[in-house]
Amino acid sequence: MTSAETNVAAAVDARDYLDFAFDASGWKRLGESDWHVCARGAIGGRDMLAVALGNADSPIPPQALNDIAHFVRRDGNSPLLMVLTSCEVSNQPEQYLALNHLLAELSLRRKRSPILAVVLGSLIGPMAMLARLADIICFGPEGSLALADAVTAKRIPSRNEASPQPGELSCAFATDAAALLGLRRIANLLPAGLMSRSNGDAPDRGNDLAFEFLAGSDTSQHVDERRLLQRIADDRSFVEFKSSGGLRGYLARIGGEPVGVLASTAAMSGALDAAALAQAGKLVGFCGRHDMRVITLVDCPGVVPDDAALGGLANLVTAWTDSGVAVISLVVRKAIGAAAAALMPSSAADHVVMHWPDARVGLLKDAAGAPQGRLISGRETRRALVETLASFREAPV
Amino acid sequence: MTSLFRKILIANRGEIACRIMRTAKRLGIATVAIYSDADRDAAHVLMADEAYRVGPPPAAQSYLDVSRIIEVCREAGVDAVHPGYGFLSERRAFAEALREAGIGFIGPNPEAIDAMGDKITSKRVAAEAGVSVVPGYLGTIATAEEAVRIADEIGYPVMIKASAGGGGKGMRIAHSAGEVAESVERSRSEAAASFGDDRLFIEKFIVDPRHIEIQVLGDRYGSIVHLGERECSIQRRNQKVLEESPSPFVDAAMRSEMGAQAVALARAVGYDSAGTVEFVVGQDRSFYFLEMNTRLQVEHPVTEFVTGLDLVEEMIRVAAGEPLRYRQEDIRLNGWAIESRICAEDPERGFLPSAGRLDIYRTPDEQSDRLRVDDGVREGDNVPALYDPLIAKLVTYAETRDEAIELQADALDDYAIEGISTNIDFLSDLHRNPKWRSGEFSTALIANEYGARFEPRACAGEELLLRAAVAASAHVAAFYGRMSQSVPIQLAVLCGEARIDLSVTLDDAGATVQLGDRSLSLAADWRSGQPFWRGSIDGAAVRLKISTVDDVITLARRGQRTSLRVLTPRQADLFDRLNASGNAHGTGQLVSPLLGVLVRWMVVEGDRFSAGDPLCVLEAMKMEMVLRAERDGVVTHLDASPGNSIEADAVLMRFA
Repeated sequence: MTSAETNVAAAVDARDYLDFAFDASGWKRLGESDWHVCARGAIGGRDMLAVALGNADSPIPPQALNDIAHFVRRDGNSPLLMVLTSCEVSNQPEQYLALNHLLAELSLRRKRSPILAVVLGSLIGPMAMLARLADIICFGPEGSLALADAVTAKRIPSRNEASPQPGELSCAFATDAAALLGLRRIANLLPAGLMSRSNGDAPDRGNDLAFEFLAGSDTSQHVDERRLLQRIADDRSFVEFKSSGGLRGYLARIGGEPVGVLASTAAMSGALDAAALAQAGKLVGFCGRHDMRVITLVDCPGVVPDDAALGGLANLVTAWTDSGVAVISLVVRKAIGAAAAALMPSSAADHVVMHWPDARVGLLKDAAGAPQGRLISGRETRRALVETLASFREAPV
Repeated sequence: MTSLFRKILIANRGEIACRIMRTAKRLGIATVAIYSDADRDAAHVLMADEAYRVGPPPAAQSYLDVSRIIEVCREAGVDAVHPGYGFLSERRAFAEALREAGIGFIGPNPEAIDAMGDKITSKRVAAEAGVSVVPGYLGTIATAEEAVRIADEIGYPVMIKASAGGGGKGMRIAHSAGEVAESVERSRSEAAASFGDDRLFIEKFIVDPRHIEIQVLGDRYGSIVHLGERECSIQRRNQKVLEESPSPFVDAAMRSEMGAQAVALARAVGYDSAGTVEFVVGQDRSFYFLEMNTRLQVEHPVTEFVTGLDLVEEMIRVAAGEPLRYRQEDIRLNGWAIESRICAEDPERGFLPSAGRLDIYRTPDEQSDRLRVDDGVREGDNVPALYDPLIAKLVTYAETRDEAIELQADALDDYAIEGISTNIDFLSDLHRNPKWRSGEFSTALIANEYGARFEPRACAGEELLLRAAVAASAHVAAFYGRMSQSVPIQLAVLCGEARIDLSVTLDDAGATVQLGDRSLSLAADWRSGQPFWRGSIDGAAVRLKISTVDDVITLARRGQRTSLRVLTPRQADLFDRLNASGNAHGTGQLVSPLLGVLVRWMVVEGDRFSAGDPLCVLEAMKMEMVLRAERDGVVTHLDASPGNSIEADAVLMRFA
């Protein structure tokens, strides 16, 4: 057995993975070697490029890496999907050179189209970088990204570094099938996916009064951000990334509009640490590159006072500015101290603040007052968000 | 005519608090709610004109705190208190404390509560009032010979019980003198070992009994009427599940006799409110007094439907000093009413309590005067683990029993709850049970027909094909959207071991599903996210509950819930292999099925366990439950400690 076509453990080959990832309409092979398959197909009817790589008995040769780099360089802005099983490169200079070439092409493509990776095996050292260049990573149960000791080339036990890592946009799944199906759901939430389905409003809003019950009268209680998002998002559905600190990133559609969502979580009472700020920066950058708006659901007591977090805060503020993204900040409970800079960014290109009646903003908790922005009740939340997103659409930033 | 109260406090929560408030508001009476911290935003709090906090979540520190409730009564300036059911409703001390505080009690006088509060006393009072009581010996038995003599007098079979008994210990059924002698010795030693008390008593054992009760209503002037019977035999572990009025087992003569005895008992204790006299009924139509509930019963709505009376209104009027407005001959029973208790519990996991947020809560349309939903929750509400699991009562009314059952089945199909587990599917299945439908059953029906847990019937044949078609069309609409219009999408639907290959073509009218040579035309206004799929298949009306989690679509109706995975044909080919990779058995985590408190661990880190082994004990909804292993494993980490509050779905333990 010498090719990438066979995952020995599961007896599934690279073509099988692509079969599984793409729609029933099939896919077209655009390149192939013993180590990889390049293809074009569709997910949810939307055009996608894909490369399946790995699980060969020998390191990937430079030629295969160059072929993949050539494939990645293709014109168009179709999202790129990478299915990565266990694979590695040797210590030969030409292999590193080819790998660098591929990494450069990936980073260029990332500017014009989303890159999604499914990691189903252990990727060591430089190969792990391939996945790290993806915007979003779906991990199967055996998927991990690990460093290698540069001197001995001895593999570092990957458990502690096993993925997902805090701060990245990633999801972990119990099986390979679930990881690939999860990737299909993510692809379907990207801009231009389901283009013809945008209907401006969600079909089932249920009881909008339920917002009030979610909010509750006890403002010291955290509002369950998943349930809040369920009431806001189209179809009551969304994709959530592994949480970092007191924040979690989501992808959803609201009023047909694909959006990134940053929501305070109950973990650390919503406080932002370096990992949370890093994840926020990645989501902001991703949304900015692909013309998506961002919604922040804020219940944040502040930023953890350490150097790493403060550095992360500076990076996030820069990301808001650099991305040119439009953002709606919904202050659900509070935004204290540096939380305002992180999640209510005046540095964003277009910024609307909304807040619930009991919300408070301030440098210090005790001195916090009502935010400057539009006061909305819980039950008005969805309509207000849909209308504001539509206004962004009418006057693009 | 005495004027009714100006303002009343309802010393309860949940559906009964809301139900009492509805009547009070109709009568122009202002309402006051009380709440614990767990109910701060509960429906009954928002519904009341005023609401007062009475304490922290545990009932003993809030809804059972008599002095605090009296304090609130004074603060709010209420004229009277309605206790609902449970909590303080049958506490003499509460009724007396209100009397001393000069506040009315919308319930019977304290002496009547006291007389009926003790099982031995109430049986003696009942016997003195000429009410049939279970033949037996209320004293303790000294010897086996004495037991045989008493059993011979009572008639076989008999039950020998431990005076201090509970949980079935020391309890034996004997069908002959020989069995009595043997059972007495065994029961005595078992009772001594279990309770440190070897006293025994004996009474007639009613084979395959039914539980039938009579509603009575009395005033302060000695007038008492009965409002017919309620059949409450459909029970699970002594908890009523379905109730109906009238009983399919009771004829006019029997009703008259049971009613007369119930009224006699009520008269004997000077009863002056709504109350219920419960009887155990043999299959030979013999009936014996069980106990009297000196309060409003959970199942009172079925009586209200067939009599046309509002029992809460009658209680308020009587408590305000009005005489009864009806004589016995004015009471007419019309039609048939059935009640299903909708509870936060998981029948498929041995009816474990469930708690959490109601992500979806949709009730059937109540516009019809044949349907009533008594509930105390709304979509988005939190169902706390601390209190009774009853969420709602679904009551239907029709001319005949069969029609009322059909209305129940339809209404349960129109009842959608997501976020917590409920018994709705179980109730739907129960309404299809032939024994229930025939009216020939006993209190053992659920135990005999279902055992300890409910396993939904598998969906097969034509029904499975229809569900596969609905799931596939729903998947295409949600995932592919109009982009796929008029383009056939090839799919495979997996349901357990079954695989159904089909294609779906969306069109303006809906979808066409091709199943081999067969073509189905589906029309529905369903849109992704809605909890009901209501439409037609080849012109025939179809109504299904639908929910989607990731790639699995679950469809339910008539108690059959089917989870279908919609894939491409190639995905279906590969699914088993790809789904088996990694941890195919689950996450390697023991997850709490509900909100509660961890009582104790039964394993330590490093322990090996086998499927079925007990792992820990949780307390929720006033019950302790043992969580058991579903497969073999080794404990790698315990994530919670005894005494910890546990959220639903929280990881309790990790294992390899």
